[in-house]
Amino acid sequence: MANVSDIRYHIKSVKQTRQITNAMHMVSAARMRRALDGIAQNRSYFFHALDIIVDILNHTGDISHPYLRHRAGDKVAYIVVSGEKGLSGSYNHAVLTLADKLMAEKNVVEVYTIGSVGTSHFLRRGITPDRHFERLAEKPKLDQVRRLLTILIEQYDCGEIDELRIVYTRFINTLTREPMEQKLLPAELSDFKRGRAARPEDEVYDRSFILYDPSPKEVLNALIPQLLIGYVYGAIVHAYASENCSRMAAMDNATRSADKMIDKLTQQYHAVRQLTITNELADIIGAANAANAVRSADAAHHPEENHA
Amino acid sequence: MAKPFHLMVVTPEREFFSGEAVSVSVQSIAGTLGVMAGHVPMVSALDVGALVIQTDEHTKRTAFHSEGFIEVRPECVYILSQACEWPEEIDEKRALEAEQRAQERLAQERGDEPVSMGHSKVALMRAMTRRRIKSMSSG
Repeated sequence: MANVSDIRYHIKSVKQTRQITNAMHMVSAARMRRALDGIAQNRSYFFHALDIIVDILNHTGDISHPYLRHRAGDKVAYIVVSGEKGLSGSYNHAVLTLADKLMAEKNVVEVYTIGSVGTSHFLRRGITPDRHFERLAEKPKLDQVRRLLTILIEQYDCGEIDELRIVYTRFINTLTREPMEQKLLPAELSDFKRGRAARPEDEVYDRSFILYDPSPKEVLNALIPQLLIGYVYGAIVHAYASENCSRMAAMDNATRSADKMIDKLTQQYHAVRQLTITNELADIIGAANAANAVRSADAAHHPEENHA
Repeated sequence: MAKPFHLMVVTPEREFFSGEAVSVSVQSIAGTLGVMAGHVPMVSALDVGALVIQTDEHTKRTAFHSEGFIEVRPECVYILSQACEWPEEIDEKRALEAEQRAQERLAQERGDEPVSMGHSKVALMRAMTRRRIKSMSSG
């Protein structure tokens, strides 16, 4: 059995670890809350853009747009959004496994990663990401998203890629997250509708009389890239919220098991301490008994000395 | 005094403005566009430019807006832009650097095929508009 000072040392180190996991838990909780605000903001932007595009397509008839039409080619570009750090439970694993599975089936010509865990994951598998963005999710900057999408849309325009897809983790609530894939180009508007609540004012408001200035086609041209930028930005915010939520849960578990471990070790510590004391007492008593026994044996052997 | 209407200005990052306004003017792809209460429902895409919000007869504020769109509805006017900044939020140094970068890029690209010339031009526009709005408020 371990001795007292070993156990004391062990308890101390577990306590320190517990402090770290507890701090990380609180930091993730705060970050998650911030990210949730971001989701709400972005949602209103994105759905407005989407509504307008759907309106234009519904009410103006024979307009089509290269970004909405399917092409024959099969060259796919992927954007993969993952975490910046580990220690977040199954978050990174889940999204990267999904990305691997989906990419295995397609002719992937380009990979773009957001988050360093994804970058190193692809490097390990011998795929060099064409461009990677680190620390973007922590503080999403719209101009960086715009830059990324500008490059990709340009490649789509000149036919270097025929499809653009994104893999990210969608935040549903603090207990549920779902890694998912979304096709961005060519855009399938019905897909985007997911998670959209119907608004009552839509029904009273006849949208077919809306004036498009200068023309529906030009508004559409300007809006589609913006819709995509809004979506990718939203995906990054979702992924960041999911990452922190996942880390929060993982760290909460770690803190709890550290507590359990400390309890167990403390019990063990007391047991060992008491055992040591008992042993020492037994030694002392044994020694005292032995001494007494010796003394009384002496007295028995030399009874005359006592009388002297 | 003109009738007020509800105005919402939203970017993906935050709610920039929400409240009553008398008139608002933006830079749309078809030119400068002013909206007052009772405007016909319309939708237009925005270029980079100045967002002027008049909240009552005496108060008028100018801000920077990036690409986006405006939707005029009977009950409310929505302006959704990729970025909106009040003059005090504009980082002039950053805008100046961006302007120089964009100009350099444009100078280089002039010789080559003008594939991404459009983007540099938009970047230049953004930087110049930011600086213009900043100087308008401080001067």
